[in-house]
Amino acid sequence: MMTNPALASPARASDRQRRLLTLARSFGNRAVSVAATLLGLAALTFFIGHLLPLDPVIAVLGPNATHDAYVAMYKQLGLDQPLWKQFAVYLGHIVQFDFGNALTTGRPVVTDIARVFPATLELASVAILIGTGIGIPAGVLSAMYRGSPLDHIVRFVGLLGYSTPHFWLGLMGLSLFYATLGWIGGPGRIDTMYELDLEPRTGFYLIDAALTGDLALFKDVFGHIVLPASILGFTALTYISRMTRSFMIEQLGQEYVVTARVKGLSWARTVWVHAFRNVAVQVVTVVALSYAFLLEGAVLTETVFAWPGFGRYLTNALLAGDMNAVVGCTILIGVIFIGINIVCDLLYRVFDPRTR
Amino acid sequence: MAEPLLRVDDLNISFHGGRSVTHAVRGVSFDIDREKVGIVGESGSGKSQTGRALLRLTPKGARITAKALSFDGIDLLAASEPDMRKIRGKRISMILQDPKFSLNPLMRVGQQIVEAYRVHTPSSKAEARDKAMAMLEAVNIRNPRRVFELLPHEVSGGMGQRIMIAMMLILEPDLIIADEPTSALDVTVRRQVLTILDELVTRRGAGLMFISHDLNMVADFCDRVLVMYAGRIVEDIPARDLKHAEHPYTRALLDSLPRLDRPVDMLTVPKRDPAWLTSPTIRRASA
Amino acid sequence: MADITRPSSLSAWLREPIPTSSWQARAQQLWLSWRALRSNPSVMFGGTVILAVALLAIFAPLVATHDIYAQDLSIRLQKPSAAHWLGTDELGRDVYSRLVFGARITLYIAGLTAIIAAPIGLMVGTTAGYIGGWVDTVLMRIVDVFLAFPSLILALAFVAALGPGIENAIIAISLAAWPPIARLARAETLSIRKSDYIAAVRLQKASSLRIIFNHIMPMCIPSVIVRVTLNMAAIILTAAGLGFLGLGAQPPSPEWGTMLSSAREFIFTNGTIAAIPGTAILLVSLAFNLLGDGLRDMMDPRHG
Repeated sequence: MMTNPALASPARASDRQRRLLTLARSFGNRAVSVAATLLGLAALTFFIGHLLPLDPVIAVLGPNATHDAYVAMYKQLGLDQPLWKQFAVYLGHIVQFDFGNALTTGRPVVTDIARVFPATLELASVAILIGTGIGIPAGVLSAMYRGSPLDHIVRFVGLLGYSTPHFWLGLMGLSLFYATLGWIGGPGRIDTMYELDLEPRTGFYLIDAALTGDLALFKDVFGHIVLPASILGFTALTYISRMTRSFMIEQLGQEYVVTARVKGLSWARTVWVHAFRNVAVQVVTVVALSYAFLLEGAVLTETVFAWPGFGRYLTNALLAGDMNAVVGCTILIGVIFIGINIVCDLLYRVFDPRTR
Repeated sequence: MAEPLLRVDDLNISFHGGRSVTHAVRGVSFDIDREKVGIVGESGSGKSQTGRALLRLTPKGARITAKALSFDGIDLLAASEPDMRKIRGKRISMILQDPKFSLNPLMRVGQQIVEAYRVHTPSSKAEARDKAMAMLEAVNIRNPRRVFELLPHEVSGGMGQRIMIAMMLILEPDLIIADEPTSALDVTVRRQVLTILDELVTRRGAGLMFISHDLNMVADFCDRVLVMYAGRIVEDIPARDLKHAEHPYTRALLDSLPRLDRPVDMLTVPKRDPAWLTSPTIRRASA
Repeated sequence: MADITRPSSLSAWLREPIPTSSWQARAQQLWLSWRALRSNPSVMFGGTVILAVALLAIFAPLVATHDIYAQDLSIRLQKPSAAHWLGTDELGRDVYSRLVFGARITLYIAGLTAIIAAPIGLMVGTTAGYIGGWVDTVLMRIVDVFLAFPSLILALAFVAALGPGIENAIIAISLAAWPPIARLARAETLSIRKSDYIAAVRLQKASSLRIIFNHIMPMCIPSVIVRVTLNMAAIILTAAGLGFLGLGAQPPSPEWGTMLSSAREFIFTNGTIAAIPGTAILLVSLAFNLLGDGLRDMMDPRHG
C-alpha cells in the first residue's frame, strides 16, 4: 500500500500531538475524579463505622473491663485523638488494605475476604455466562421483531425479573428442585462426602472438579452451583436483554440500516452485521455493570444457598456487628464498582472512534 | 410504444397509527423510462415515501396499494421478499440524503462498497475490492486506496455522497432513486456531485428518479419534472417547458424563486388553494 | 365570536374547545391526563393493583380475619382452608391476616422512603444543576460516592451501623435511594436552565432560590415521579431483603420479608408459607413497575 506523503506532513504530526495532549488531560481529570470518589468512599465508611452504637472498646475487651484497662484500650485504639486525625490514620490503614481483624474469625479481614471471594467470583461468572448467552440474543431478537409475540414475551419476562425478590426465587427453587424433586444438590458448594476429594487449586470448584476427572464429583459440584447461578443469571439476563433491546431499537432507526436494506441485505444480516456492531461497546459495558449488580444479588442468594462466599461473609459480619469486616467488605465493593465504571469508560473511548 | 421501465398507476400509501389514518400518497401515477425524472415538492408532499415504496422499504405501519407498480415487467407489489432482495441494489437502488447518517459509522467505506457488490455477485474478496476501487475512481476520488480504508466520519460531505453513489451504482442498476442527494451538502459541492451522477447515469442508460425540494436544480438537471403537493402529482411537464407550466401551484413555486433577470420588490408566497387537493394532474407530453 | 351558552353537562364543559376560566382550563387538563392514563393498559393494571393493595392496607383491621399475633401451636403449618384462607404459619398464626397487615408495612416503607428521598434528590439535583460551579462539583461528588455502592449494600451497611428496626431500615434505604433522583434532576435542570423563560424570569431580578423553586423544580417533577415509581419496586425488594436478613422489621411483625425469613426453615416441608409472602412482594413490585413503565411511555413521545 502506497504511503501518502501527505500523511506525514507537519500539520498531521501536530494534530496527533494535540490529540495525545487532550487524551492525557482527560485521563488526568478522570484520575483526580476517581481519587476524589475513593476519598469520599473512605469518608462514608468511616462515618458509618462511627455511627455504630456499639462501644468499640467494649467490643475488644468485653463488658467486664476495669476502668484502667478501658482507658488504656481507649488510648490504644486512638479514640482520644481528634476526629480528623482518626480519619487520617484510618485512610493510612485502608490504603495498605489493613482493615483490622474480623471479630468472628479473629483473622485479618483481608485474608478472610481473599478466602471467600473466589466462591462468589465463580458464582458470578457462571451467572454472567447465562446472562449474556441468553440475554443478548433475546434483546436483539426482541428489537428485530419489535411488536411480535416474541418481543412481548421477552419484555414480560424482563419485567418479571425486575419485580421478583430473587432470594425468594432461590427459596422456591430449593423447595421444588431439591426438596421435592431431588434433581439438584442442596445448600453449599459441594456435598460433605466429596469435600476431601477436591483439591482447591483455582478456587473455582467447577474447574477443579473437572481437573480431577472424577465424574461423580463434577456432577455434584455442578448440581450445587446450577440453581444459584441460574437465579443470579436470571437477574443479569433481564437487565442485559432490556438494555440490549433498547440499544438495538435506537440503531435500527438509523439511516445506515435503510442503506443496508437498499443494497439488498436481508433483515437478519442487516441487524447482526450492521446494527449489532454499533451496539457492541454499549453491550459490553452493560455486561461489565451487571457483574457489579451481581455482587449485590450475591449477598442474598448466598445466604439462601449457604454459599460460602463474600456475600454470606458480609451478611454474617453485619448480623454480628463486626464493623471491621463490614467496612472492609463495603470498601471493597465500592472499589470494584468504581473500577468497573472506569473500565466501561475506557472501553467507550477505545472502541468508539467517534468519541476521539 | 414500448413498455416504460417503471410504471406507477394509482399508488396510495397510508399510515394507520392508533386512531388516525394519514394518507401520505394519494393516487399517484407516472412512468419513468431511461430518462431523468425529477419529483419536486415541499416537506410532507409524499415524494420520499413514493421512492421508498418502489423498493418496498416504507416504514412499518405503511399500507401500499396500487393499480399497477411494475418495473421491467416485474410486479413490485406482488413480489415476495426474497425477490425484492434480488432487485434491491442490483436493478433498483437508492441514494440517500446525508452520508453522515446513511453510512455505517463503524465500517470502512471501502468495505461498505465491497459488500454492495458481494451481496449480488459471487466473487472473491480481491475481485470485489478491485471493483470497489474502480468505482471510487469512477466517482472522481483521486486517492482510492487511501479513501478505501477510511471511516465515514473521516470523509467530507461531498466525498461521502460520492462514496454513496459508488456503492449504489456498482452493480449498474436500471433505475436509480436519488432521495435529496445534494440537500445535505455545501452549495459549492453540489454541482460536482450532480455532474458525476449525471455522467454515470447517462453512461449506463439508466433511469433516474430525482427527488428534491429544489425546483431550480431539478429543472436544470432533469428531463421531466413531476410536481407533488399533499400526496398528489399536480403537474407532469418536460423540464424545458417549465416556464409554461399551467398548474397554479407550479406557477406559484416558480414565482417564489428569485431571478436575476426579473428582479421583484417582494417574492410571492404560494397561496394554497384547497382545490389543489383533489384536482386532476395536468400532464404535458414531451414533444 | 363564539356563542357562550351555559354548557348543559359536565362532559360538555370539559370538552369545550376554549376554556373561559383558569379553573376550567385546569380541570380540562386533568381530565385529558386522566383520559391518557386510562388508555394505557400498563398504567391501568398497575394502578388498579396498587389501589387494591392500598385499600387492603388501609382497611386491614376490617378485612383481616384473625389476630395477627395470636399463636396456636396446635394448628401450625396448615394448608389453606375455610377457616384460614391462606393457611397458618409455623406458630399457628393466620397467614392471610398477617399478609394484609404486612401490606401496611410495605406501603408505609415505600411511601416514607419516597417522601424522604424524592425531595432531597430534587433539591440537591436542581441546585447543583442550576448554580453550577463548585457547588455542582461538590454535590455531584457526594452523589457519586453514594452511587459507588449497590443500593442494597449501602442500605445494609447503614442498617448495621444504626441497628436493626423498621425506622432505621427506612433511613438506610432512603439514603440509598436519593442519589439517582439527584442525578436525574440535575440532568433535567441543565437542559431547562437554558430556556428563554428562565432568562426572562432572571431579567425580572428573581433570586436563584425563587427560580429553582418556582420554575425549575416543577418542570422536573414529571420525570422524578416516573423515576420514583419505577424505583418503588426496587425499594420494596430491598426492604424485603433487609427483612429477610433480619435487619428490617423484627419478628413478630408481619412484614413480608420477615415472614419469609421465618418461613425459610420450613420450605422443605411446607412450601406454601414461603410462596405466599413472596408472591405478594412480586405482585406489588410488578404493579409499580407496570405503572412506572406506563407513565414513562406516556411522557416520552417516542412510545418505546
